[in-house]
Amino acid sequence: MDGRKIITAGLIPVLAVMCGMLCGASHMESPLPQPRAVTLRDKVMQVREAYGVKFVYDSTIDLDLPYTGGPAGEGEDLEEALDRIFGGSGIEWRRRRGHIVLVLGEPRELRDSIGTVGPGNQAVERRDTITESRISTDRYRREVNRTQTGLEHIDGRKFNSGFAFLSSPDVIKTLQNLPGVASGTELLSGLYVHGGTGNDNLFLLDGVPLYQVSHMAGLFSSFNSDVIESVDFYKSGFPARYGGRLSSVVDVKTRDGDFEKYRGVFSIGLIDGRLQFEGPIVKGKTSFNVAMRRTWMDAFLSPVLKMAFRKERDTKYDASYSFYDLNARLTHRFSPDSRLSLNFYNGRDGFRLSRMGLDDTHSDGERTLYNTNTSRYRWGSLTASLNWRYRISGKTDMDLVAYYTRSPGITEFSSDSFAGEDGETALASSEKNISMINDFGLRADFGWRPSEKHYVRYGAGYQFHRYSPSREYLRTSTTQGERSELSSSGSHMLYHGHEPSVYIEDEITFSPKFSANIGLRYAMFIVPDKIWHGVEPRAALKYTVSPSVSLKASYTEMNQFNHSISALYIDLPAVSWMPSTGKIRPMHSRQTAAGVYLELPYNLHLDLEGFYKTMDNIMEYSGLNSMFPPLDRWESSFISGKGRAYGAELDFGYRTASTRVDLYYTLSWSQRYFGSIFPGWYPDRNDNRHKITVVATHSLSDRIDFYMAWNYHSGNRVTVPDQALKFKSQWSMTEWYYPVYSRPNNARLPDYHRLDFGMNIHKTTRKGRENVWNVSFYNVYCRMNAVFASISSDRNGKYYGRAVGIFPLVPSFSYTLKF
Amino acid sequence: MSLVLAALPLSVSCEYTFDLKGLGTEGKVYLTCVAGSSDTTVFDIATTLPIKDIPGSPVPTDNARASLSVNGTPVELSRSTDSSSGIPEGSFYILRRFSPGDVLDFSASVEGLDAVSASTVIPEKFPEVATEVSLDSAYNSSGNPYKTVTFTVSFDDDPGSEDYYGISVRRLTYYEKLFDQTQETFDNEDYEGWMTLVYDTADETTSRDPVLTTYYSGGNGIGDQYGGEMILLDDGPFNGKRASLEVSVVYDQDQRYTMKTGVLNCRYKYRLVLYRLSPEFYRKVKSEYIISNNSYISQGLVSPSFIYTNVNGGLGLFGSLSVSRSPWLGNPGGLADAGRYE
Repeated sequence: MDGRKIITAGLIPVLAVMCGMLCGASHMESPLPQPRAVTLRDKVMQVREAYGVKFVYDSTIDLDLPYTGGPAGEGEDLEEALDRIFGGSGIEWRRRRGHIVLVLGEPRELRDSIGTVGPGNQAVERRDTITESRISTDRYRREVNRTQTGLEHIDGRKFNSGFAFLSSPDVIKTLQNLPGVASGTELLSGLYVHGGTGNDNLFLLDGVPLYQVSHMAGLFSSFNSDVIESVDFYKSGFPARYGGRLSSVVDVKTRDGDFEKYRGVFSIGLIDGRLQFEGPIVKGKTSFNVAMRRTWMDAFLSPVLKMAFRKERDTKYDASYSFYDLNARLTHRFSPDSRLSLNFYNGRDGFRLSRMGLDDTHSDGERTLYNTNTSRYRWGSLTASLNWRYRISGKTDMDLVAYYTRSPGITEFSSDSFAGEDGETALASSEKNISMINDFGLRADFGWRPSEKHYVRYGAGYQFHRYSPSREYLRTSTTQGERSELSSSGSHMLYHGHEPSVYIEDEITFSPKFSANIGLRYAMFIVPDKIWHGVEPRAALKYTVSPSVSLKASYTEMNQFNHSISALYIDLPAVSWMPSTGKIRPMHSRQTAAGVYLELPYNLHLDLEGFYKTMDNIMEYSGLNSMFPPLDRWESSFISGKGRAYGAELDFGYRTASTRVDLYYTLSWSQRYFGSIFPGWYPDRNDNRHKITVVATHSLSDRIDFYMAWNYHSGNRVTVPDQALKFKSQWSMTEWYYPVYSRPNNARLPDYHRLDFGMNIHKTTRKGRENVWNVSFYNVYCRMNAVFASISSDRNGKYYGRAVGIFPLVPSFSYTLKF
Repeated sequence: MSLVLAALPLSVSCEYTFDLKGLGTEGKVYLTCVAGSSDTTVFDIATTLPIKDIPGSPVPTDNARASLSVNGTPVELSRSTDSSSGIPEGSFYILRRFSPGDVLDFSASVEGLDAVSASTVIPEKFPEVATEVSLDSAYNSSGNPYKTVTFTVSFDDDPGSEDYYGISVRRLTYYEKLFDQTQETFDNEDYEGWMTLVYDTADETTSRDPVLTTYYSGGNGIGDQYGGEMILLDDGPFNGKRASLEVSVVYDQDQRYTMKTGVLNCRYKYRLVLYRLSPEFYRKVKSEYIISNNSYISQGLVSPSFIYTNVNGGLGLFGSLSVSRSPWLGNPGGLADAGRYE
């Protein structure tokens, strides 16, 4: 590698960091840093300490709202303190057997407010005339106030009260419900955002990129909901601080451990169990938060297989599958303005399937041959990061991150054949495929508020990518104990890529009605035979027509230098990540979005958003029958093309303290163009014209709440022969038809729809421990939605579609203890 | 209980039928033409039937019209009235040998269907080659060894273009009858239907690859147009470099049979047929090969996306190729005595 390229790769972010720190230092207005705003949570903790009471509240309560009340009065009792703290906040309190239970109250008038408003803050706005408005942590209010289009902010605590597949809350399945997101194959963690390819989503776990984000081929995501603080999901209007992927950003942040007391969660479900534990190491200074999750499918998969294939006498199956993941976080507060956190994540899946028995393909009529085929899959992710947040001054803060992420994927196939009862001759073959990507990264982010009208963010990053896929194949023969090698081959690839980047964005409040977020990102990608680079403009505008009506628009460009190459579209560990090279160009997207966001009377809201997106240099596999694309000529096994997607999304919702109903509707088109495959635009596989999702949650009482979700979308696209040539024999009257394909993805599977239902029963013990029993039903009316499809013909030669549905009604239960 | 619930997905998957939505309701013109392989270029025009209308008959092609221009100049096409000449009945054809670089533009129409058009450029000849013949060993799927004849073909690939090549091996079996001082020879030329291919390049960092991009041409009339099977490959792995391609076929040693009245020698010789393919030809054959040989498609794990045609408004292929033939190469290994037959 050219030394000048290395220097260039490293110099840009270093210079940017130095500039940032110098800028930060110059922004210091006084030697003493300003204290951060006091929140309701701070007050709750004071009351807890002062009066010895415990607070009980669910995930809809946000205690991170700023405290807007006055100081404590002299001789103030508990009730007076609670009225003072929560008065005007929209949160009501009730006493229950020594506990203080918090619930959301009815909308009420605000008293005159104090405090400043900055873009992105959730403080109450300063107003001269206070009219009835809602104080709520709900998303729709933030939607009206935020500048970005296509942003969904989800509080981590809401995951555990929402949809849960097999009673396990899931980040990606929650995102799949949102408008503009196609889920692909049923139950898998596909995220096809605004016509994306599924491998163009940036997943960040505490700022660290994750390549493998699912377990069980996509049935469960890698994010443990017990430790999630929040999830920011961007579909459009990406701020300049994000880059590297085309279609979406899923920014997952985990919680610090509790600095004051020990607590945790234990949950046991149908196929997995979770344990989370957090607490102080040094009270008020250092805390930890550890969560682990494991499935026990390996305990019963083998007997289930035996039961399923019990009728086959000459063939035996054995299988095992398990996954686990571990999240750990250590946080230390040096001061109110300086904190250091060490984060760790390790997730691993392991699957093995063996088939043993008589193999007729090797039978020679006289001898009985036995054959054993074994497949093994192992994949996962490991990340580690060190994060230092420091408030340089009252107007400037800094966030430095150093991280490492690794994503291995190993698949092994072995086959043994034996001739004769005494195994006289044995043939063995084995194939091992390894996909490995290692990233080392550094990032510095700065936030600077020079005035109330500006919030400037800038920073730089550097990533070093190491791609090392390999493949080995060996074929041997053993005769009378003597082993000889028949053939062997192997491919071992090693690529390095350097990815420096810098960005700057400014959240500008031109007036109380008009604000904008203008940004620019510059990224490079350096490989031995090429330097790629791109300038990515970002712009988001918001015009507030009234406090309950806003108009927004955005424009973004994104580059993606990493490519996920796979011959299949199902998320298996058969995926390798490869860099852009001299022959493979980076992918590029442009997206425009605009919308209107309304807060309506009677607790209703309505968001209407449209988007148009183009993608260049996306890749399609054009190789042979193989689960794994060839490694050493992988560049010639893929072809590049274009994509485009456009549509409109509607989000209509109703919110009260106990009930929440959301109706999402998407009308969209998604198309592809690969000139060397097909001379014209054709529908993408996930071109679901209509998508409707209805999600409802309701609390019957303090103890019982339930949720329901109904999902509908137009069928996924498949390619079937839709024309036929007719042939007639020259010597007989026989006629036959030769099926011909006219266009890719020319047919639609039957429309997809299903209903899910779940219920939580809560019981809080005297000691303040909360027990939660969950019962859920996936696919309540048991619609066997098509997963695979082909065409067949009947006796009359008439062609029809044939679909296979796999997932029926699946009931589940779990028990959770919060202590 | 958990065992039963977990077994549900394994035991209750079901199959059902559904109507095919969104498919075409009209037939299309289907063109098959591979120009450049001989003095006669045949334009086979057929029509397709929408799959939903089976059983039925497609639109007849009796009133089909076609036109061809070569380098912008219209030329006259003839139409075959019967297949006795070897040209399929109803096909259009022209008796003319095209030259590398000739641009062919074709259009056709059938009443009731959309008109079609397509173009191709006759490729340059295969680069100059150096050929070596050797005897090697291989193992079959049962682990038994066998011998192969390996032809090493070395040439320089053009660095300025994407090139597509085809190779096939033809074996001539000829018999020498040596009876009573007279000699008679008769032969039977045949294709070698089973070939393997490896490649190596002059680049020292490139390792040997046991399998290059290999596709065997299928049926559907394309093979009939140029006369047989071939291995197709693109120049991706060795673009602009000097490449050595090794083509191997099963080896049969020359045999001598001693009869009562004389000696019968059964001998073999080989020659390589080297093709330079147009991009349309390569992509069409590749797409058909992938669809026919990808088991994941039938399992539903992959949906075929490589649906290639260069016929605007219709289906099929209008491609071209140029053909070079090596001189006949002798069979290595000498003549073996097959024994006496009296």
